[in-house]
Amino acid sequence: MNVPTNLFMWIMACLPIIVLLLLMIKFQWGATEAAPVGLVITIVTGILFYKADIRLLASESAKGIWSALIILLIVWTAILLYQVADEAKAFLVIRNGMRKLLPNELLVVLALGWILESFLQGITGFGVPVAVGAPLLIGIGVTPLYAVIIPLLGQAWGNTFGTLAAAWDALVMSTGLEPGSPDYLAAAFWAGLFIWLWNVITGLVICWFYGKGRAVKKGLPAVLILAVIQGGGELLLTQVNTTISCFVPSCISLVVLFLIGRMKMYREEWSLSDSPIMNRASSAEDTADEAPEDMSLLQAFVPYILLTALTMIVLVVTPVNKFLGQLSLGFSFPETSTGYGFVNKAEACFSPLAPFTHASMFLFLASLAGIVYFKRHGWIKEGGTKRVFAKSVAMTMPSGIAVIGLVIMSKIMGGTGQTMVLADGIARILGKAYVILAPVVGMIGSFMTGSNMSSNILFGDFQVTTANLLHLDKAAFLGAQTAGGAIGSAISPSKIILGTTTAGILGSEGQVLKKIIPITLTTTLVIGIIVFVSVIL
Amino acid sequence: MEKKRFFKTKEGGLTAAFVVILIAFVLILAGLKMQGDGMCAAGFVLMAAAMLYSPLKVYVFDRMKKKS
Repeated sequence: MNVPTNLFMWIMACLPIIVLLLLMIKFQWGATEAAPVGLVITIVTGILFYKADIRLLASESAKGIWSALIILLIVWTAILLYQVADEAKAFLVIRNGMRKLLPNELLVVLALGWILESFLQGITGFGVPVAVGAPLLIGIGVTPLYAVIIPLLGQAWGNTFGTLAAAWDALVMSTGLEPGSPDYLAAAFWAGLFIWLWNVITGLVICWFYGKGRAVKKGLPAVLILAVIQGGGELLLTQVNTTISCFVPSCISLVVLFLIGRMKMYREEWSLSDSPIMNRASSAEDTADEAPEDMSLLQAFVPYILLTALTMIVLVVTPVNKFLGQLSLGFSFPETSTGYGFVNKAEACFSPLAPFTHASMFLFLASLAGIVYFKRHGWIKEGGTKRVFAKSVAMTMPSGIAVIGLVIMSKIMGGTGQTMVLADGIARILGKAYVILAPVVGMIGSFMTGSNMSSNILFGDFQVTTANLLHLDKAAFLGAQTAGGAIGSAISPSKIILGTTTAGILGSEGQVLKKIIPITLTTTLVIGIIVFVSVIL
Repeated sequence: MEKKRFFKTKEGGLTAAFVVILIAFVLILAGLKMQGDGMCAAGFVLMAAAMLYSPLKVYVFDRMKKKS
C-alpha cells in the first residue's frame, strides 16, 4: 500500500466530514440532506485523489447499503412499537399511573424524565424517549424548555446499549471486533464504566435543575440506588450479553423506582414551591381526559412486557437461540483495491443477518401483538392499524436515507484509504494528546448525525486506526468513542427538534443547546482524561 | 388517490428513493457476481442519484418553485 500521507491528502480526507459539519451546524441542514452531499464529496475525492475505481466504489456502496438495511430494520420496528402505544394512548396512562403512585414531585420528575426515558431507550430509542417524555413532563407542570432538556439528558446513557444494543453492534460491525474476544469484552467494559459515570451525573443534574442543593440532597439516595441499578447493572451485563445490557437494568429501575417511592423519605407528599423548572400556574390535568379510563398501568405496558419476554426467551435460552439462529443471510464480496494498492479483502459472507434472533424481529412481533391486544380492548379504533404503519414508515424514511448515506460514506472512506490517512494525520499532529479528545470525537459524531449508532459507524474505524498508530489500547478508545457518542446524543439537533416539536417550542433549540452543552462537554473531557491516565500513565 | 398523495409528500419521495436504492443494491450485487463493470456502474449511479433526491428537492427544486 502506497497511499501518500501528506497534508493535501489529509485535507482531502477531512473534506467530507468538514462539509458535513458545516452544512449541519452552520447552515442548519438536516442529516437527510447533508449526508448525501458528504457522500458525493467522498466519492469525488475517492476517485480523483485516492485512485478508486468504479468496482471498488460499487462494492463498498453495496456493503454500506446492506449494513444500513440491517440497522434500518431496527429503526422501523422500534418506531412501529412506539406508534402502537401512541395510537392506543398508552403513554398517557403511564404518565397518570406514575403520578398516582409517587407522591414526591422530584421522584415524578425523575420517573418521567429519566427512568421512563431509560426504559424507552432500552427498547426503542431513535429520539422516541424525547418525543414521548417532553409532553408527559409538561403534563405534570414542568416548563416546556426543561421538559425538552430533561428527557434529552435522561435518555443519553442508554444510547450505546439501548435499542437492544444497536449502536454497540454498529461499532462492533464497523471495527471488526470479534464478539466475545478479549478486545470486545474490554471495550464493552470501558464503555459501560464511562456510561455509568454519565448516568450518575444525569440523575444529579436533573435534581439540581429541580431545586439546586435542596433537591440534590433530597434526591441523592434515589439517584444513587437507580444509578447503581442502571449504570452498574449495564456494566455487569456488558460482560454477559450486550443486547440486553441496557434493557434489563432499565426495566428493573422502573420497578425499583416505585419501591423507592414507598421508602420513608419519599412516601410523603414533597415538592419545592419555588422550583425554577415548574410552572405552578399551568394546569396539569389538560390532557388527563384523553387517556382511556379502562386501561390499567400494567395493560399500557403490555407490548413492552411481550417484548421483554420474547427477547429474554430467544437471547437467554441457548437451545432456542441456536435453533432460531440457524438461518442467516449475507452476501459475498470480491477483493478490491485502489490505484495506490490499498486492498479490501474478499468477504465470503459479509455481515450476516440472522433474522429470527435479530432485535427487529422481537420489536416487530411485540408491535403486532400490541396491535391485536389494544384492538381487542377497543383502544385502537377503526383505521388505527393503518395509521400506525403509515406513521412508522413516514418517521423512518428521513432518518433512513441519512443512515444509508452515512454508512456508505464511512465504507467508501474506509475502502479508499481516506480513514487511514485521516487517522494517521491526527495521530502525527496531536500525538498521544489525542487520547483526551477521543470521546469528544464520538460526541461530535452524534451531534452531526443525530445518533450514537451513526457516530460509531462514522468514527469507530477511525478510532481503531488512530489507536493502532499510537500503539495504544484500542478497547479504551472504542469505549470512549461510544460513551462520547451516547453523551453527544443529548445535543444532537435532530433529537432536540423532536423534543421542541412535541413540547410546542419549535425554534428554541439554541436555548436547549446552551443549557446542555456545558454538562456534556465537561463530562466528555473528564472521560478523555480518564482514558489518557489509564492508557498512557 | 391515496398512494398518489403520499408519493407527492417528502416522506413519499424518500420512500421512492429508498426503493431505487434497493434496486441499485441488487444491480451492484449482480454486477460484482458476473464481474460486469457496466452493471456495477449503473447500480452505483442509480444509488447516487437516489441519495441526492432530498438535498436537490429541498435546496434546489423547492426554492426554484418558490421563486417562480
